[in-house]
Amino acid sequence: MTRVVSTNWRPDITPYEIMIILNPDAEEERQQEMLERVQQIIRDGGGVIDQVNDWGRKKIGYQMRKRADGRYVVITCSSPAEALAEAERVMTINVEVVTRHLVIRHNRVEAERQKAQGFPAPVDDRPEGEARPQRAGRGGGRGRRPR
Amino acid sequence: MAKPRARSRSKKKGKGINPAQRKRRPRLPLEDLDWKNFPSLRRFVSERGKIRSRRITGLSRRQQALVSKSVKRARTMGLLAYPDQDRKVRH
Repeated sequence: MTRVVSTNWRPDITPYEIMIILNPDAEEERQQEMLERVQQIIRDGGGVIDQVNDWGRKKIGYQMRKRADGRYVVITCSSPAEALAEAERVMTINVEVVTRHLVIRHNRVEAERQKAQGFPAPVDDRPEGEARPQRAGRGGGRGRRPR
Repeated sequence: MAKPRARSRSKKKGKGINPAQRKRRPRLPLEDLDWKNFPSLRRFVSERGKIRSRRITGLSRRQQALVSKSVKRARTMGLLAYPDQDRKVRH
């Protein structure tokens, strides 16, 4: 009896998503080089890059390293943990280019679903400048509110 | 989209609550709940940026945990602001 083993499933390879906030004021080449380098590290470590999603320049919710804007890039990949550790190390060192990064481990179900959805970048319905809308007209619809 | 809020309970004593008056749970489309999807997370955050309590959102315990985790992740990555940020700026 032969058992069909599912293709390229390995227990040590886990789906991850990495969000990187790049410094938009750094030179374009350095930003690109950084992204390439991170991806190369993951590939060299035996991982696969699924998607690189560039959200473009965006206002950060608060000042981060005295920078008000950031270029958001989300990398979705499957990789062994060691490769990511190295990628994280590189990103932490290059403070000039990478304002902040965050690595989130996906569970497989979530990863499959995102793949099916095609990694949409969220659409900001309330872009910068009007972070606090006037709600005087529509108060009272919320039931009991504390304070 | 259902407004997140709890309904006042029946005042009758001794009898069970009429199902129609039970606490209303907003249907949360789980596909949309993602920490990167910050515009939809704003629904669960007050104007100040605080996470709304379960009493207000009417979510189940599990959903609320998911929401709060997502909001916190979004905050670390600057997609949402921390509560009372502007107070610091003004002074």
